[in-house]
Amino acid sequence: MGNVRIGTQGAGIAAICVAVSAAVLFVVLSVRQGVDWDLASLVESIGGDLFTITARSGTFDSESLDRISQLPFVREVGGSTAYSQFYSPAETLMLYVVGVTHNYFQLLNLALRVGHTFGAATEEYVAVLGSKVASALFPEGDPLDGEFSYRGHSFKVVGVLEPFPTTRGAGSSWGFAQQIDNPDHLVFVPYRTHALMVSLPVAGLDDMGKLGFLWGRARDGCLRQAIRQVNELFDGMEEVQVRPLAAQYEGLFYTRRRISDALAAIALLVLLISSTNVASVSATALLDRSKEIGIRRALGACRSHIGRMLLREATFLMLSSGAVGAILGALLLHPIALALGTSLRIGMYHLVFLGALATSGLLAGTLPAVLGARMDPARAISQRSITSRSLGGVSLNRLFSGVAVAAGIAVTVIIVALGDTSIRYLRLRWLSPEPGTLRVRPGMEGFRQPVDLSYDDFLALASLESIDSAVWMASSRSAAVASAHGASEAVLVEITAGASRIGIGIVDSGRMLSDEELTLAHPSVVLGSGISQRLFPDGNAIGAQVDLPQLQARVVGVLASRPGLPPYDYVDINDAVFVPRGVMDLHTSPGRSWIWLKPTADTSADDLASIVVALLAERHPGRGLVEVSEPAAEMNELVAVQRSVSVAQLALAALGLIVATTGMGSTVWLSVVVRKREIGIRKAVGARGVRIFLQFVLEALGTTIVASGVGMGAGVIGMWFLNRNAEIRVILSPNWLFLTLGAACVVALASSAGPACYASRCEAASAIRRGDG
Amino acid sequence: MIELLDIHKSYRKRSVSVEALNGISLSVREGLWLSVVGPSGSGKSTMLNIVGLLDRPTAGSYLFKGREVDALSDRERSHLRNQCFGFVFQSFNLIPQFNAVRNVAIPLYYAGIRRHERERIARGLLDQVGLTDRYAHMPAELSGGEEQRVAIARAIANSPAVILADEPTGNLDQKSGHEVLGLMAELHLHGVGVILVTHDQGASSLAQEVIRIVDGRIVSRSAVDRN
Repeated sequence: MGNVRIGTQGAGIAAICVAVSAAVLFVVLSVRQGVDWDLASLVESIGGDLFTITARSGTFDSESLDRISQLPFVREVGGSTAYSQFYSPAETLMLYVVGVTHNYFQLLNLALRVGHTFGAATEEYVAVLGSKVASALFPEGDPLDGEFSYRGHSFKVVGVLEPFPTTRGAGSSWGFAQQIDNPDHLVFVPYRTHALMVSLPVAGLDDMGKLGFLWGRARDGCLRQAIRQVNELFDGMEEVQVRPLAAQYEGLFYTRRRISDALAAIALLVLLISSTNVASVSATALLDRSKEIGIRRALGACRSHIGRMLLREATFLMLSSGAVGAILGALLLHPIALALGTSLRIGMYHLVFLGALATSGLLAGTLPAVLGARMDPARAISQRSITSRSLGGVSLNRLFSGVAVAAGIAVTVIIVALGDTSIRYLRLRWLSPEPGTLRVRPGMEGFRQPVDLSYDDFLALASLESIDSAVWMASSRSAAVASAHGASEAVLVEITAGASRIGIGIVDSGRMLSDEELTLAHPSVVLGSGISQRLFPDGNAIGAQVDLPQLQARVVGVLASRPGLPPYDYVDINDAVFVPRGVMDLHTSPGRSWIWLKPTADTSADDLASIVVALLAERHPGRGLVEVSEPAAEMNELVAVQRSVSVAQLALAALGLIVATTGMGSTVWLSVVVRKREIGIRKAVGARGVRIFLQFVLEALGTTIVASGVGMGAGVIGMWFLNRNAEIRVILSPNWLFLTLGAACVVALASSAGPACYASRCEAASAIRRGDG
Repeated sequence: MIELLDIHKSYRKRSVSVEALNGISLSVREGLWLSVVGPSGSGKSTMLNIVGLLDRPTAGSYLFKGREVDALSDRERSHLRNQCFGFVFQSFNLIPQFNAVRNVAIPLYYAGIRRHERERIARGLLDQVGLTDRYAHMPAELSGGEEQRVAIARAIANSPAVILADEPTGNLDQKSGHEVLGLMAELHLHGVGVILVTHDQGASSLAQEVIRIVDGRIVSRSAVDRN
């Protein structure tokens, strides 16, 4: 094997690694760019100069509107009320009604399909309908000038909106009201008219007719100034919040951004690891070229000439491979965008790509440039240079490979830990309900009126033969709860016997309400972690008394803190007080109830679901929408999504690890070339080829194991750092550590097998003769 | 032109120090053809490397054209090497990936001459050494004698004051060896100094002076009687 072949082979492998890494980085940055593009489109569709004004408690009136609209930097201001809802008797539809100012549609760029909006001071009974509401209310006729009835008044339809574009976040809450998705689902009426109808003498509902949510548009380029002026106007009212809409939209993209940021960071690291590979290969190729460098030095090249030449060559290799990667990535964008169903864009983030490529190119060229420039010309000409400097060369090369392997391992360890933790987090959030347990709750689909699940429904379901156990839960509105140490708002949730078996929460201290307490309506309660902390800052909640509305109860348990609000809950369990059903009259909210059903062993979840739907349809004719689901299955779907993200991250980390460990091959090549004379001598004194082979393979393995140890240490430090700063504890299974180490060793063995094999086949005589070269 | 004063050169192999040159003092005037002879390992090549600024002495002083060169920076030494010395090696040392023209043009590149001009000069030099029809040939496509002629063309590219030749005929047959020595003699006639390390009796007879080195010391220096 000629020396040139060593360099060419290594350079080829290194170039492929760089090209693949660059392609991956290019695609990931395109994903990141796509996220921003989507966000920008969303903001643009409404306008970047839009801001919202909200009051945590209290409302705004027409005087507020006037004062804001007179501010110099504010172009226009409008608002909306909270929504009210009603059922259309004929169609059994639930409609969401919002009172809005006359300029609301213009402010939010909501286009009318037909008709017109209403005037500024109107108190007429007119309405503008969202597109889906229009087709639901008037499935066959023309909605324009049609009439519908609401709270005893007949409303005339004066306009119908265009369908809300999906690019504007349809399907996401964007500020109309928390539980309403988009304007397609709304009935818009003049806010003064809305006020006339919903001013009910009921605590908490008396503000329904007033403007709770204001929208403002700043003059061109004056958003910041407009927000400042509005803030100054409400100076002293701490609960008024003025925020640009764009900032609120960013929340919708938080998860996608985080995932793509993480992927980009990993891809960037993989590219850097690839550059260390190029550095190793270039340093190895230096051996082939020591004579050339000596000749150049003899003919007048100074160190900087040689350094620049080698730096240029390595950088060129890096950049040209990176360019190939970029082309490959660009070609893959369209099919990947189709496969992922997401926007992939080329834009400013690709400057990061160029920067990363240039930086890694310089990094890759530095090692060979320094080594080459430091060569002694007289020795280089006689090809003795590398032998005399071999220790430094090999050590540096090995150090580079080791650092690359360590970085690859560290990244893999952290990614695996995060993936594992995310899945644990999901399970904790969903409390790992038993497979097969069904949850029944009022359906929230479309506008059809949901079933108000009553306790009688529960009793009917619980008496089914196919039910093993059943639990009833229903929540109230917020209520004041007090202890000897303080008072706080909490949501009261009534439950029935069997709650502990379906896992409403993990008990942190004390115990769950016993079936006896639940059945006999004993005045005992279990607190969520948040309310427990507020009522009992000293942590001594168990056995203490709490004052509920019209009831004193004893705390028997406190639930463990649960991260986030699971999608199936109406309330945050951390802020809930669980009481036995019947212990007090909770005035539970209609439609905010759950029934948990565990089927008997011989009944499948699907069969039970069919039975439940049929029974409830029979009990509530014409209003048969209930949602029956299996939380364990839903959780598994989420886990599957999380796994997909983890797999993508892991694939990138694995790529980094492969790139890093193939660099070990270059190191072994260097070692073999430098120690050719040693190989010849060993053979001359009787070493068999297999011994020579093992010698080099074991050296590669040793370096990999040491580097892996360092990488694992770095990974553990990274996890410690995450644990200190993240909300959740990052945990890593030792099995993954061993698997990662094993994978690194396998790749290192595979990449070092070639040079080790070459070494084992060297002719002793020629190896001794060519030992210097 | 070249003044070596009590030059020592030692190499360290682990804890053992090996003296390659042991107090060499030598004066070489401009345009002199000096042959250096001696047994293998006597320090001839080491001395040539120090004279050609490829290596630095461990002790002693080296004056080139009256200027102390040990104190010079790498850049200054490289510039001197490029402008004042031409190297001819036993194994030719052409860069195998470059054709004849590009090989000859290397010193011109480091002298900062533009590409077009470099190639023009390189072609002229190849014409001068009789390789007009070998411009685009790669080293592997040339005979040993032709390779050495390319090396000589490369050595004189920047019109050096002295050519340093280390066994230039060692790898050549007799005919090619004579041709190479003939070329060097021709250059010498044009005023170029030559320091020739050789075992070849015939080659040393072309010199004006011969020094003999044994164990890193000059043991004799004599003028060659051409009659």
